[in-house]
Amino acid sequence: MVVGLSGFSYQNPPMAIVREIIRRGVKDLTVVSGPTSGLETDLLIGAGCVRRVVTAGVAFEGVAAIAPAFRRAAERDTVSVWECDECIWHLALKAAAWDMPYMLWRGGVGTSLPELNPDLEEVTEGGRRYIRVPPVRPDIVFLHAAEADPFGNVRVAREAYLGRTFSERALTLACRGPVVATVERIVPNLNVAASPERTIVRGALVVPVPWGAHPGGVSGRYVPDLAHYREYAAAGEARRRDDPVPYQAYLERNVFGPDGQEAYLKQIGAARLDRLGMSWA
Amino acid sequence: MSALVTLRQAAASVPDGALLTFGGFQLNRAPMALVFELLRQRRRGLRVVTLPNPLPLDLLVAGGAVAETEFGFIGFQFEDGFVTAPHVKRGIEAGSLSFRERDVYEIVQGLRAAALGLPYLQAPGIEASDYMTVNRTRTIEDPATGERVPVAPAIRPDVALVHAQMADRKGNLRIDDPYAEDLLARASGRVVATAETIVDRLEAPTIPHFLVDSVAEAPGGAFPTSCHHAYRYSGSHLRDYLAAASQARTADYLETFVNGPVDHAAFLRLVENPGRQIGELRVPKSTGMGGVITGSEGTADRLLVEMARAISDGDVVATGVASALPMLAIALARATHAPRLTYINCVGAVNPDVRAASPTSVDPRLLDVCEGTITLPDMFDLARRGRIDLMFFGAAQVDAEGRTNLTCIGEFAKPRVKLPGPAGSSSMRPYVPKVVILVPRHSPRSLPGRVDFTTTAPSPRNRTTTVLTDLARLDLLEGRLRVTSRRGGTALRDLRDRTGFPIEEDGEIARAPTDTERRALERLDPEGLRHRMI
Amino acid sequence: MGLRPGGVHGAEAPRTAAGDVARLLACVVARELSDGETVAFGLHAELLLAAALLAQRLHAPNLTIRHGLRVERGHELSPAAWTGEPTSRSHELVEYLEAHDAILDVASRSSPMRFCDVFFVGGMQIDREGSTNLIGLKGGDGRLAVRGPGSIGTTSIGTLARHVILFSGEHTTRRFVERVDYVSLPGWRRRAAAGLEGGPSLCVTPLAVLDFADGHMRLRSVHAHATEAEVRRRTGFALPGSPVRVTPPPTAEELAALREIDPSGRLDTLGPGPDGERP
Repeated sequence: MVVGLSGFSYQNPPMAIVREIIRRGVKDLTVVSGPTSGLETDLLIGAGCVRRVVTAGVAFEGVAAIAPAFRRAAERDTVSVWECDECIWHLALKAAAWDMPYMLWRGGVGTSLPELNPDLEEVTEGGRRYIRVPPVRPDIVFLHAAEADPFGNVRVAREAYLGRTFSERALTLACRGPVVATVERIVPNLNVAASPERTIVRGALVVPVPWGAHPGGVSGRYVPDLAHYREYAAAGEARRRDDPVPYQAYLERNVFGPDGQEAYLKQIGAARLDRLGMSWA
Repeated sequence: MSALVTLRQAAASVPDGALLTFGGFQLNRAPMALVFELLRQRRRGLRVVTLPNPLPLDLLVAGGAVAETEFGFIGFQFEDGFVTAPHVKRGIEAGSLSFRERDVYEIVQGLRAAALGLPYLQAPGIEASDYMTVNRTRTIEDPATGERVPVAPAIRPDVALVHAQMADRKGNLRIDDPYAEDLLARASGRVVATAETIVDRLEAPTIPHFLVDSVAEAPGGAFPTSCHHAYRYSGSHLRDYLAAASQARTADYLETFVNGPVDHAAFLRLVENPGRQIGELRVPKSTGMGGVITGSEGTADRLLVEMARAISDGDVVATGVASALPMLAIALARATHAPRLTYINCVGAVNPDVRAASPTSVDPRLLDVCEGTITLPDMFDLARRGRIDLMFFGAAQVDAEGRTNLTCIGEFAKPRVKLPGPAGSSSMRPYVPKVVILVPRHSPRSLPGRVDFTTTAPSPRNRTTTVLTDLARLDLLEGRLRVTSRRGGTALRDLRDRTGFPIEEDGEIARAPTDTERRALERLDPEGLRHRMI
Repeated sequence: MGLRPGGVHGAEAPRTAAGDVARLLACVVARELSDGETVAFGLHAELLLAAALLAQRLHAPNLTIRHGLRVERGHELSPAAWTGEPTSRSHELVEYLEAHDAILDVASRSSPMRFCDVFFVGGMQIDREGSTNLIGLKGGDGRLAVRGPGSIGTTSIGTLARHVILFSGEHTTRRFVERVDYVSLPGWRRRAAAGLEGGPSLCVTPLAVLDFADGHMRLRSVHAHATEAEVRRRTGFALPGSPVRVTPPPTAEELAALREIDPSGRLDTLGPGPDGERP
C-alpha cells in the first residue's frame, strides 16, 4: 500500500498515527513523505514497516544530518529509496493530481538520479534534456495539522510562524483514497468561514489528537521536542553500529508500551509538554 | 519599495504588440479601466490570450488594438439572454480577425507549463474534437499506455492585467473572488494591477507583492463588469455597448466612452454610478444559443424537471459558463429527490446556497454563500480524477452520434455564424460519467445528421449521454441517439420532421412535472425568470 | 532584534573560536549578496540566515530571504521552526501563506516569480568542478556504503537558480574530492554535458573562499586564521590560484550588525548541518 504522510523535517509529522500503524504490525509499505521527511518516516523504517520510501531526504536538521534508521536500511538494502529531490517529488504528486502521464523537468539532468531511480528517465525534447517524472499516487494520506472543523476543513493556526505549509495539499490532491487528518483541536465551521485563507485541505476525515505531532512541532502551537529527537537519534545511531538495545528500548517506551496517544503523552510527562507549548506574553 | 503608479502609467507600461491576458471571469472583475486606458493611449498590435472573459477582448477588438487573439469562450449570459462577443464574432465572420480557438483547458495547461518553465503540458481530453485538426494540435506518446496525448505548448503572457478589490503600496493584492489570477501571475512576465482602494498594509494577500509589478488606484476599475463586494455588472451599459455593436455604431461608442473622457474618472462620471443596482428585469431580446422565444410556458418547467431527474442523490454535479438553466435545475433536484448532491459551479463555489433563479450562473455572490471554493484550473483536474459525476453542457447542434457543436456554422476559419466556443466542454466531456446536453429548441438545424464542427464527442468513459430538448429526451445507445421519451402531445411524425436524422423508436410519453416539482420550481423562481431563459 | 524574553540588551554568550569563524563566514557570505535579490538556502540555516540578515542591514535592504518562511528585516535569528524556541514571534512577520511546491517557481522564466536568485548548497562531497553529493558514499566494491540524507532541495534549485554558491562546514579531503561518488547537483563540466549553462560561482569554507575558472575550483582567498598550505593539504585535488589573498576579516560595522542580529550568541553554539559538521 502506498501511504502518504505529511510532515517536513520537524513540522507536523503525524506521529500518533505512525505509532498506531507500527502497533498494528503493518508491513511492506511504500511511504511517500516530505518532501524532506523526519521522524514519521524514520520510525516506520526502524520498526520494519517500510519496503520503499519516496522522499527527497530524511534528516533531523541540527540534530542528525542523516536519519539513522533510514541510513541503516538503505545501506543494508532492506528499504529501496526512490531517489529524487524536492521539486521532482512535488512534480510526481502534481502529475497524479493533474492526471498527467508524466511531467518534464530540467532539475536532475546531469545527476545520478536517473541512474539510481529507474522511474526517472532522461529525455531530450526540443533539443533540451529533461527528466521525465511519472505520477505518484498514494492510496491513503495521513496529515497532522493545527485544527479542523467537523466538515473536514483542515487549517493552520493563526500564529503559524512559517510562511508556508508543506505538502498537505500536494499529497491530498494526488491521493486515490481517503485523507485522514489528526488535529490539535476541532473548531466551528464559522471560524473556518471567517478566515478561509487558512484552510489548506478540504474533505478530510478529521480526528482530534492533541499533541499528535509530538515529538515534532506544530507551527503556532508547539515547538519540536529536540531533546527527544536527540535521544532517538542516539538510539538509532547505536543500532546502526550494531547495538540494538537503545532503539528497542525507545520503541518499547514510546510505541509498544503505551496503548495509545494518551498513554504515550503520560509517559512523556506534562511538564515536558508544557515547556514546548508556544506562548506570547 | 512602492509599487504604486497612476492608471496612465500602468497602461503605458504595456507596449504595442504585447502578449496580454486578463484577470477576472465572464462579467466579473475584468480589468476594464486598464483596457479603456490602453485604447485611450492608442495601443496597437496587441496579442490577447484569455480565459473566459469576453468583454476586455471585445472592447480591444472594437478599438482596433488587437492583432491576434486566442480564447476558449467568447460568450456571456445576462438578463437580456446569451450574447456572443459582437466585435470578435464579426471579425471572425468577416475574416478580419486573426484568431485561435481552443478548449479552455488547453489554455490553462499552457499557462501552467509557462509557470513551471516547461515547454508544454499534456492536455488529455480533446482528442476527438475537430480542434485537433484546425489547430494542428501536436500529440505526444504516453509511455505507460502507448497512446497519443494532445499537448498544450507553454503560454507565457508578457503582461497580466488584473483588477483587485484592494491593494497595498507594496503591491499585495486582495481579491475577494479569485478565479485564475494566481496562475496568470505565475505564468506571466508581469502583473499590472488596479484596485478599488489602496491601503497601507494588506494582511493575507491573495496575490503577494513579489508577483506584482505595479498597481494603480482605480475605483470602478472593473466597470461595466462586476466587482464583487463593490458593485454588480451594469446591464444598462452592456446594453448600450451591444446596441452600438449591432447597429454599426461602434465608432460612436468609442468616441463617447474612450476618446471623449480624458481619464477614467471622467469616464465614470459619464456612465451610471457603478454603485447603483441593476434596473428591473426586462423581457429578453435574444434567448438561448441560437434560438428565439418558443412561446410555450410549460417548456421551461419540463426541461428543468428532466434535467433535475437526471441527477441521482449524492451525485457531484458541475456546471460551466452560461449555465443559468442548469443551475436552477440543480437547485430543483436538491429541493426534491437529491438533497445530498454536491454542486460545483465554475465561478468557484462548492455547494453555493442557490435560493432563486438568476440570469447568470456565475454571479460572484455565490462565493459568499457556499461551503467551499475551487479555482477554475482545479475544476479541470477534478474531472480528470473522476470526481465529477454529472455535468450539463449546452450546444448549438447535436448530431445523430452525439457530437456537439459550439464552434461555428460553416467553415471554421471564416464561418457563416461564429458560435461562442467550447469553454471547457471539449476536454471535460470525456471524463464525466453522466453527460447531459441541453438543446432547448428541437429542430433539424439543432439536431442535424452531422454537426458542422465537432466541438465535443462521446467517450468510452461516459456511462450515459442524454440530450434534452423542448420536445424530447434522447439517449446515446450503441453509438446513436435514440428517443427515450417525448413531450405529451408530440406526435411521432412531428418529432421526426423536426429532427435532422432518422428516428426509429417511439419512446415513452415523458412524465409531466409532479406537483412537488412544480411547487419547488415556484418557490425557487416565483417571478418566472426561467421562461425567459429558454 | 532577537526576541528572547528576559534577555538583557548587550548581554552576550561567551565567544568561541568556532563562533568567530561562523561570524567571519557570515560576513563573507553577506558580501556576496546583492540588494533586490532573493536568496535561499537548504542547509546551515542559522549561519546563512545570519549572513542574509547582515546583508540586509548593511547593503541589501531589499534582499528577500526564503527558507521555509518569508523573512522580513529584523527577523529573529532563531525562529521556533528549527530551534525549539517557544516564544518565537515569527508569525507576526509572515505576510503570505504559500505551499511548499512554490519552489517549482525556480524553473519559471518569468521573473520575478523565481523561487530564488541565489542558492546556497553543500554536500557530503564537493568535487573539483563544483558538483555536490548528498546521496551517499561508495565503498571499495563500488556499491553504496554510506547513505546520505538525500538531495533534498539541492538538485533542482541548484540547477535552475541563477547563482549558486557552495558552502561547506568543513574543509577536509573527505569533503573536497576529485570526483563525487554520486551527483546531487552537477558542477561545471556535467552541466555543460547536460546542455546547461554556467555553474557554481563560489565555494565558502571555514578555511578559505574558492571560486571557479575554466570549470575548475581555484583558491581565491585564505582566512586569516588558516594558511594556504593547510588549505591545499586539506583539499583532495590541486588548487590553482596564486598569489592568494587573505580573506578580509569582519569589519567593525559588520561585527556591530552581527551583535544586533545575534545578541545571545547563537552563532557560538551552532549544531551540525546536513553535511555532518558544524563550521
